Amino acid sequence: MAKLKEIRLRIASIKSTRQVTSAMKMVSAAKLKKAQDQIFRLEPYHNKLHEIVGNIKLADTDHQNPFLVQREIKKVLVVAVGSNRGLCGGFNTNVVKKALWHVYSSYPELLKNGNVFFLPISKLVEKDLLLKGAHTIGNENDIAYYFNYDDIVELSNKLNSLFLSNQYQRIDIVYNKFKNTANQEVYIEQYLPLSGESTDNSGYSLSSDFIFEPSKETILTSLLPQWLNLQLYRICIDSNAAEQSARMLSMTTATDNADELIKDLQIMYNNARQACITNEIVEISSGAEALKG
Amino acid sequence: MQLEIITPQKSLFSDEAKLIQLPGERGLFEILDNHAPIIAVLKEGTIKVQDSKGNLHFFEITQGFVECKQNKTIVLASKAIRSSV
Repeated sequence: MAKLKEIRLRIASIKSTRQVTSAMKMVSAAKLKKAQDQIFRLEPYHNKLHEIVGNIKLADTDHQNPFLVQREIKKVLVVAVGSNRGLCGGFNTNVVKKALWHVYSSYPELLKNGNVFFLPISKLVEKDLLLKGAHTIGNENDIAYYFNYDDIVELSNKLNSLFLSNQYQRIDIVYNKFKNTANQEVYIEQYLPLSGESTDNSGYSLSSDFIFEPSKETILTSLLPQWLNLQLYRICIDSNAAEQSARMLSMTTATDNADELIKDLQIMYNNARQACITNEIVEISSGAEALKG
Repeated sequence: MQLEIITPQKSLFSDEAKLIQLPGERGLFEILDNHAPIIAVLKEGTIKVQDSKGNLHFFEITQGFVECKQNKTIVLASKAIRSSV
C-alpha cells in the first residue's frame, strides 16, 4: 500500500511540474513572436543605413575617421550578450564557452598579460565568467531585461568612448544569433574598429553622384556612431529572439519528458494496484478455503 | 515622389509626397520632385511633409539622415514621432 501512495504522489508532483513547463513554453512562444517582430521592423532601417554607409565609404576612400583606424592592439574588450533568466538550455553556457575559446585562440599573448577584459550583458554569463576566472569590468545586466533601444544607445556610446579614448584598441561582441525557432548559433563579431566587412557593400554600386550635405566627412562623423548604435541594437534583439526560442525548445523537451514519465508511472501504478487487489482476493479466498476444510 | 520615414522601431510614413521640408545641419531645406541625388545629415527638428493631396504632416526627429535618389526619398531618424502642429 505504501508503494501505491508513493507513486500517486510522484505522479501528482510531475503533473504540476509539467504544468509549469508547458506554461513557460507558451510564454516564450508569445515573447518570441514579439522579438521576431522587432527584428522584422528593424530590417528596412538597417538595410538603408548599411547602403548609405557603403555609399559614403565608396565616395570617400581616404577615411581618416577614428572609428575606422586600426591601431596596435594592447587591450581587448569582449562584450558577452546573454540572458538574465535561466531555463533556456545551453544558451548562456555557449556564449561563455565561445567567448573564452575566442580569446584563447585570438589573443593568447594579451591574455597571458591580463589584457583581455569582459563586459557581460547577462547575470548568468557574468557568474560563469567570474567562476572561470575571467577579468570583467562591471556589468550591464539591466539591459538584458528589456533590450530597450535607448539603453542600448547609451551603452553603445559608452563603448565608443572607451575605444576613442584609446583604453581599448579592439572590442568584440559574442552573442547568440537567431537562425530559426529550433536553431541558435553563437557568433563573434568585431564591433570596433569598424572592419571593412561589417560595412561591406559588394551588393551595391554607387548608382549616382550624390550631393553630400554638408560634407562627406561630417556625414561620416555622425553616421558611424549611429551605425554602431544600430549594430549593438541588432545584436541585442537577435540575442533576445534566440533566448526565447532556446527557452521554448528546452521547455518543449521538458514537457515531453514529463509526459513520458507520467505515462510510465501510471502503468507502474496500475500494475501495483492490480497486484494489491489480486493479493487481497487470494487472501480472502484462501481464508474461506481454510474455514471449509 | 515616394517618401519613407523610418526609425529602428517602426515606419512612420510611406506614401507619395509633393514637398518635404527637413532640418539640415545648416538650416532648413526642401526636397521637391526630381531632386538631384543627395545624402544629408539632419539635426533635431521638425519635418514637414505635403502629401499628394496637399495635406500637411509633421514629424519631430532627434537626429538622422536623408537619402534621395531617383525620386525616392528615405528619411532615417534614430527617433521620431508624428506631431500635430
